Amino acid sequence: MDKNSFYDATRLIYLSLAYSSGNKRIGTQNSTEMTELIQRFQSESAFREMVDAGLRGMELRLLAVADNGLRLSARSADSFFATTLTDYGKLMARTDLKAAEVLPVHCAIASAFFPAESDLDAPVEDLGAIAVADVIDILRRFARAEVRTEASRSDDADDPVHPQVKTVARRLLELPEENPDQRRAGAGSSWVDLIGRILEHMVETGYLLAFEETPGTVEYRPTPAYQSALREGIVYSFHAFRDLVSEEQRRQDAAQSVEDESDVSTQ
Amino acid sequence: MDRCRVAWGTASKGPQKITSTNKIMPIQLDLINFSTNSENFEKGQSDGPPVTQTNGASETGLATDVTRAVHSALIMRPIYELETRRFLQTDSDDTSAIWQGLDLMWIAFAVLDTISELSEYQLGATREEVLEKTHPLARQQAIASGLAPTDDGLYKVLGKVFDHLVNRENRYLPFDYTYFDGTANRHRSRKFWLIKTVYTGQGQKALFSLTEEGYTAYFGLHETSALDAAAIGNLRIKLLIERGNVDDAISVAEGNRKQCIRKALEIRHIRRLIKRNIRTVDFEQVQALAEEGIHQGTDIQKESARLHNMVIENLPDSAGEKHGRRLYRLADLLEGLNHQLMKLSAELQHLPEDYHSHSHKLFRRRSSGAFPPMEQVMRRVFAIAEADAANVGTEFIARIDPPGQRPIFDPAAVIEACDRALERKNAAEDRRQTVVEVDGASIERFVPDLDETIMEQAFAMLHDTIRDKGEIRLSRLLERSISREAVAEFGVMFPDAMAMAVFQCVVEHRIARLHQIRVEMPDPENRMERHLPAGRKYRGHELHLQFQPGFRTHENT
Repeated sequence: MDKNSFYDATRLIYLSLAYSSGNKRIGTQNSTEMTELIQRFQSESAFREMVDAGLRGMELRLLAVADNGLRLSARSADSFFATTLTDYGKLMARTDLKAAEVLPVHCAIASAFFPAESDLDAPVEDLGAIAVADVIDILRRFARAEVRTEASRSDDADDPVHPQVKTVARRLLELPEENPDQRRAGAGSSWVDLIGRILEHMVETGYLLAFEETPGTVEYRPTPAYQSALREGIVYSFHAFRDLVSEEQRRQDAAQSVEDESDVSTQ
Repeated sequence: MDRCRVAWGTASKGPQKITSTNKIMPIQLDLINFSTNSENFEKGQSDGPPVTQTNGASETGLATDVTRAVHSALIMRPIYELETRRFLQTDSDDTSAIWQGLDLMWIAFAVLDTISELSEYQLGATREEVLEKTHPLARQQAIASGLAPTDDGLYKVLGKVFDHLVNRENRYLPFDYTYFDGTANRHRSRKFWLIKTVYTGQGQKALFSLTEEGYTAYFGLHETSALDAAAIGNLRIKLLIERGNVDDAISVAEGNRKQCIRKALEIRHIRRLIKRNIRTVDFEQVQALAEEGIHQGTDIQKESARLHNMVIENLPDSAGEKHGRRLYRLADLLEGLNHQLMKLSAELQHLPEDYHSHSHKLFRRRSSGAFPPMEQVMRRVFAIAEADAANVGTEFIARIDPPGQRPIFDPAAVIEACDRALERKNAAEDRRQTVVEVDGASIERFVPDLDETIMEQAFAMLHDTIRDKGEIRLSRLLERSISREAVAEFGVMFPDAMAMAVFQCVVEHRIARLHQIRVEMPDPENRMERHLPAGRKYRGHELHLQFQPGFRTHENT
C-alpha cells in the first residue's frame, strides 16, 4: 500500500464522520470524491482493511455502508467521539441519572417503529410513521406493567426490592406526562419534553425524518441509518441487562457465602 | 352541596370503616371481587399486610390496620393541606378574604368532580374548563358567606386551589408523603397524583384527568375498582331508598354514573391496544374483562334496573310534591345509569370479539432470531435499577448515535474569536462614549535620525558624484561622505544617510532610476566593511554605482 492509499483511507473516514453527523456542507462539497472512495472501499479488499484498521484505531464502529458515506458511531461511551447527554441539549444535562430516562424513551421510540423483530430487517418504507402519542402509549404500558410485576414479585418472594433501588419504570412513573409550564425556567421535565428532545436530536442527526402533513401533528419516519444503528443498540441493551442480572446474582452469592462463613465463625 | 357532604362524610369515616369491616370481610370479598382490583399498582398497597388474624397477636393486627388506614388516609392529605396555604402576594385585596371565606375543601372536591364529569367525552379537562365550571359554584359560596368577590379574585383563588391539587409548585410531580409502616417497622413513602396531566397530542393545552387516587379521594376511601364501586353503590341506593332517604340515593346514583365513566375509559384503552398492537394484550385479561361484563356487569345492571322499577312503583303513592319530584329525578338517574351499564357490559362482552377480529395480526411474519424483539428489550429496560440504567443509557447513546462533533483546539480560531469580540466592542454605541484619561501621558512619536533634508542632501550628492565620475565604487563613495568637509557641511549622520540612499536604490528600482543611478554587483565574493562616524558600521558587498542618463524626471518637472 502506498502513501496515497493511506491518505484516501483517512479521507474516507473524515468525510464519513461529517456524513454521519449530518453535515451537509462538507458532504456536497466533496460528493464526487466520496463516491470514488466508497467505490474503492467496496471493490478493493486491501483498501477496505486499511479503512477498517483506521476506524478501529479511532474507536469508531461501522454501522452501514451507504451510497454517500459510511454510517459510523462511537465504539463505546469512553470513546472520544461518543455522543453524550450534553449533545441532547440543555434539558438533559441537569442531573446525573438523566440517561436512565433517555434509555427507555429511546427504546419506546424503537418499539413504536419496530414492533416485531423482523421489522429491523424490513425496508424502512414499510415501517410507517409514528407520532409522540404512540411513544407515550408504549411508555405508559410498560411502566405500569413493570411496576405491577415488581409489586407482585415482592409479594411472592417475601423479599421486596430494596426501597432505595428505584427501577426505571418507577422513575418514569414519577414524572408527569405533560408539563404545561415547560417554558418557564426550572419548570421541570415531563414525558413529552423528553420525547420531544430526543426526537429532535434524531431528526438533527438524520435518523428520523419529520413530516407535518396536518398542522400541529408532526409525524416521524425512520431512515435506514436509524435502523442499522438501532440494531447495534438493542442488541447491546438486551445483553447489558443479562450482564447486570448475572453480576447481581454473583454479588448476592458472594454476600451469601460471606454471611455463611461469618455464621460459622461466630458459632 | 349534598353530594359533597356525603363524599366528605365517607372520607372521614373511611379509616374506621375499614377497620370495622374486618369481620364481614369474607362476605364482602364474595360480593366484591377484590382480585380484579388490578389497577392498584401502588407497591405499598400491594405489599400492605393481608387481613389475617391467624396469629392472634393484637399488636400485629393493630399495626396492620393502622398502617392500612394511614396509607389510605394519605390520599386526603393534599386536600387537607389546602387550608394551611395562604395568599402571600396580596396584590388585590379580596383574594385573601375570599380564601378565608370559601370552603376550600368543597372547592377541591368540586374540582375533582368537574374533571371526572368532563372526562366523559374527552380524555381530560383543561385548566380553563375546570375553572370556568367551578367559578359559579365558588361565587355562590362566597355570596353565602357574605362576600362580594370580584371575578378576578375568585379566579385567582380557584386557580390556586387547582394548582395545589395538580402540585404545580412541585413541577407537576406526584405528591410524596412519608408514613410509618407498622408491619415492616420502617418508614415508607407513598407517591401519588390526584389529578395528572395526560398527553393526548391534540391541541395545545394540557389535559388533566383524575388518577385512581383522585377517584378514591373523591368517592371516599374505598380504593375499589369501578364495577365493584358500582355494585356497592347499588346496594347503598337500595338501602337508602328503603329508608326513604332519596337525596342520598340520588347522590350515590350520580357516583355510580361516574364509576361507569371510569370503567368506560379503561375499556377504551384496551380496545385501542387491541387495534394497534395486539401482541401486548393478554387474551386472558380480555376474557376476564368479558366475564366481568357478563356476570358482574349484568348483575349490576339488573340490580339497577330493579332499583329503577322499585322507584317507579313507589312513585304513585309518594306523599308530597317535593318528595315526588325527587323520586322522579332518582328514577331518571337510575334509568340513565341502567342504559349506561347495559352499554358498558355489552362493550365488555365485545372485547373478545374485537380481539378475534384483530387476531390475524398475531400471525404476522415471525422473527428471524437475529435480533431480540423490542418488546422484550423494553421489558428488560424497565426493570433495571435507575443507576444501572444510567450507565447502560450512556453506553447506548454512544453506540446508536452518530459520532459527536468534537472541537479541536486551534489558536487561530481563538484569535479570530478575540478579534470578533473586540470588533463587537467597537460598535457604534461604544464609540460614542467619551474616554476619560487618568494619568495620561502624551504619546512619544518616533523621530528618525535620518530626516528628510539629510536624505535629500545625500541623494543630491550621490547623483552629482556619479554624474561627474560616471562610475564609482561604494567604498569610495562612503569615503567621500566621511570626509571632513562633508561631515562638517551636512552633519555627523551624513555617511549613514549616504549608505541608506544607496540601500534604497538597491531595493527600490524606481528610486535608482529617479536619481539616474544603476547599481551593479560585479563580484558577489567581494565584500567591504567601514566604520561610520556616528558609531555604526557598514558591511556589505562592494557595489558599483553607475550613471544612467535619461531617466531623471525630477529635474524635468
